Amino acid sequence: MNQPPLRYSLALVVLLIGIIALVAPVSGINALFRSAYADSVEVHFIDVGQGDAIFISTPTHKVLIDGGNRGDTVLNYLVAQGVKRLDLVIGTHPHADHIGGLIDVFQVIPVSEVIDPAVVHTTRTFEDYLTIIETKNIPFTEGRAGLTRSMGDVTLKLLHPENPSEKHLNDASIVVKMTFGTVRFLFLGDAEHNAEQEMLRRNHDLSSTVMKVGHHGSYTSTAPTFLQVVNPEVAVIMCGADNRYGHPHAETLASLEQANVTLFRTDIHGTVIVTTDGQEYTVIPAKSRHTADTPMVQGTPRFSGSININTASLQRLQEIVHIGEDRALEIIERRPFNSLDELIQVRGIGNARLEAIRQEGKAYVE
Amino acid sequence: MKAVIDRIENDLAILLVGDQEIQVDIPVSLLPDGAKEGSWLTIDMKLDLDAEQQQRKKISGMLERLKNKNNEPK
Repeated sequence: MNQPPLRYSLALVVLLIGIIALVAPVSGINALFRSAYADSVEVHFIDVGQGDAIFISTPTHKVLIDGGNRGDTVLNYLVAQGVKRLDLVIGTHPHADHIGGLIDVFQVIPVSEVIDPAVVHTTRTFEDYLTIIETKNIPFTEGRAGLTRSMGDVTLKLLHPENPSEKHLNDASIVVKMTFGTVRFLFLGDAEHNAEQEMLRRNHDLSSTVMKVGHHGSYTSTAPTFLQVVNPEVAVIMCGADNRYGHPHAETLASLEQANVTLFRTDIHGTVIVTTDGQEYTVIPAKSRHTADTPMVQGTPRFSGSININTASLQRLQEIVHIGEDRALEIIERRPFNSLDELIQVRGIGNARLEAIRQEGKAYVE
Repeated sequence: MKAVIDRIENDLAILLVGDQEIQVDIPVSLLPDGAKEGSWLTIDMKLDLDAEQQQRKKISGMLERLKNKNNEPK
């Protein structure tokens, strides 16, 4: 579990970035790596200062999660990316540093659907956001845990909220898990400890390759118990340089370090782009050449999480450690499983073997 | 002038002030009791010429006293 999670090719990276830095702006780097994977998916953690905005580009669909504070920063970014239409926009929760910038986006770019937790907030900014959704006749979906959207080979699934309260808007945040092959992203909005506990209780498959850290790295999110279950290889904190709120907080940074997670921060690295073909991924921070320690990261997910014990074939089940034909047959008999923990009901699987299965990470439940 | 509390980050409240909803962060300790995320506030800012004048007088008096004290023969 503690082995270095990532395949670094530092020498190549330093050389490449050195060459690119001489001949091309940041967009040149993007273009270069875009061609590295056929049919790739890109996830852009856009540097909007203190706030969130995440742009997802698949071969067939364009998605935006949050739009930063009010203004045209994100709109301009999307226009520069050549975005003509958004298939889906998710406003994670009504705080101005998440939905403010969506107002300008809606004014200019046609949008096929908005998913929002639909909890009341009293700011004019939120009112203006709702008004433009109404004026432009954008289909509005109340986002609840379990809702899914498939986009080619990419699946988005909401893991939160189930029953949001307007009394605590951060914990009303929509949390999205995006799966593409064996590479999984978890976008946590501003979800705090209560939301994390709820998601753990609901036994969602939280394990992810890349985690957008909740609430700008505040100590009110990213409990060690939650982090352990998500078990990410890469984490991205979205916050403004020298923000007044002390984000990210020392507690969160310490937890991430202890969990051996490679961290990127928009306040340090600028916009961070993750490119993946569903098997491998590459992280490219815009300001890579200023941070020699982690200029770029490439990897394949440690834990492939590729075998759903509720649906896998007899043969596939036997690829899991400690599962032979007899136990595989018993697993099929005992379906459905609500969590990996329930494998303990299978003859011959005790705590030690269950832990080994978990550590291997191939098995998952959905 | 109206303001609304968009959110609270630790001990700072993020107020959105006026029709333009200009962001102003202020310490939570300065908020009235019961203020929370989503609360609307009336901010009443008026020039208080009397208070200013009183303070001017007070400070002038203090400065005079100090100057005269230093000039007193030892």
